[in-house]
Amino acid sequence: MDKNRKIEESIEHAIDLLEQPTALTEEDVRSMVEDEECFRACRDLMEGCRVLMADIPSYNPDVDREWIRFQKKHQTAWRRRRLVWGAALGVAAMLIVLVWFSWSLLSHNKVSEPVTVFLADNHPQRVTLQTGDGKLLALDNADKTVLSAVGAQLQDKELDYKTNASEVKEVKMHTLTTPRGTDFKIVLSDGTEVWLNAESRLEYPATFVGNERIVSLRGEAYFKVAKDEKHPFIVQTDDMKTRVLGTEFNVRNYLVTDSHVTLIQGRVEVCNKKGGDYVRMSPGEDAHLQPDGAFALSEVDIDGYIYWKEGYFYFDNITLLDIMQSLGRWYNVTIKFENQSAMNYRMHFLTDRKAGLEHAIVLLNRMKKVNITLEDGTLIVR
Amino acid sequence: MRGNMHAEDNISIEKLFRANYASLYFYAFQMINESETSRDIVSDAFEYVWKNYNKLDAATAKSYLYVYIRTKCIDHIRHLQVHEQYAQFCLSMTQEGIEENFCEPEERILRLRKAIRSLTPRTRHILEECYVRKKKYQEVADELEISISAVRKHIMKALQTMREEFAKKE
Repeated sequence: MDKNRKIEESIEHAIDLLEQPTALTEEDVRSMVEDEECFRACRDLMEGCRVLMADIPSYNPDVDREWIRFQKKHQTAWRRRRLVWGAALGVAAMLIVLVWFSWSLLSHNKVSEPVTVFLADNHPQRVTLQTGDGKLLALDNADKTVLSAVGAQLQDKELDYKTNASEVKEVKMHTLTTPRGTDFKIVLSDGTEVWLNAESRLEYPATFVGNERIVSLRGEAYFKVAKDEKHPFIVQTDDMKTRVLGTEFNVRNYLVTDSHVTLIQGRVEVCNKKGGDYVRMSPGEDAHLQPDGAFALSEVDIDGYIYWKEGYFYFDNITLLDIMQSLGRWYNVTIKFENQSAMNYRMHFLTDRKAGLEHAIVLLNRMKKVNITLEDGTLIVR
Repeated sequence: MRGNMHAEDNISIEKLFRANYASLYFYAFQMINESETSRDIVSDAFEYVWKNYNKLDAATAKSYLYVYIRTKCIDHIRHLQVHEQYAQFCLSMTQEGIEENFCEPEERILRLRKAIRSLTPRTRHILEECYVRKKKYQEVADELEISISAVRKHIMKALQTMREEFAKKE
């Protein structure tokens, strides 16, 4: 009851602030940033109004006219354009964007405030399946008969399409989404096993038909592909494709800068989605997609890429920033660095995911390089 | 093969432009509240991405567009010397999107749209008057001949409807 009252007050405050955001005082801004409910209310209302605007024709820009204007402005430039020139600009642009990112972080933290490197998500955290007709099912309380009607069998933390594969005639795309803190296993209709890591999404047909077996991934997954040389298995992410015949490998693509394919055994080929050639990989190799579309191949300790599916965090010579972001993703906590130089510390670290966040903090603190505390659901690194 | 490259680019930048122009424009317009400048900033953002397009795929390009526009809008606000506090407000309102992956919120937008469309015409009108036309609550109340607290109730109702839609899972 008391909590509801508090939330209501925060929302009232948000409505006060939104009346004239151009006239806010320093105190107003601080009160908004510090009160999460109030912040969310402001943001939701602002976002809602953008959606509202899109529905009102008089606010909508004339996209056709803008496109023509844009094209005219650049007509001469289109012709003059050189690939080499574009490449040089590309590099410069990457630098500029990096500078922007750090600028916006810094400008936000003038008074040596900590840098937030990961934000907790307040939405309910559930594994969901979107079926071909657009229906969204939460798998923690899904009706098994509904699932079997679309060709899937649910057991504990596993969804199986193989058993019923022959019964389903119509091809429907399914999308399985995992929240933070939960991984999930799927057996596809061809028998391929996929371990989907936390906060990831896999789109696949309930039954494979045609010459290729194609799935799309965002996030991280480990694939054990059923051998079928006549039907290559292809994993697509936003920016790359991995083609295999039958093998085990890990694909990670949480961030655009962090697209990896790691081959455990067998043979795979990777290519970028901009029409590059396929690059063949050998077992034990990691391919990291570079901004120019090439792949940096390196020999890696494959343990780091497969331990997660056994329920462990395993980091070998990984920066504390990466480690903390992984912890944040799994335990759904916000991460702040007060000691910003600590982001670059490299550490070796292994812990059981089930042992909990507190246990991981104890282990990290034991190394005596940083002091990590959990305060109000936020991990602070000092 | 290289000869074809920019013809293909031309098509894909057009696709990117048409698919994202309106939402980017609303994103800018909400911050600077001025149509002409917003359109210029969005157009500049596409120019920037277009120059580098052979280095970017669609998803990356989209997040660059948002980063570019956000930065330019904040610059513009600071330039006008309106209020540093307003710049801070815009920064924090747009902060979460910057850190997250930009494709994921599509689901969120769909839900928002559903919520907004389910509101009564009156509630929608009040939202528009207050937050798009930026009228004071008192003004809106006077125009509709209702009380300020009734105006606020409509806003509260809109927020509640959005939240209910976010919470729905099926």
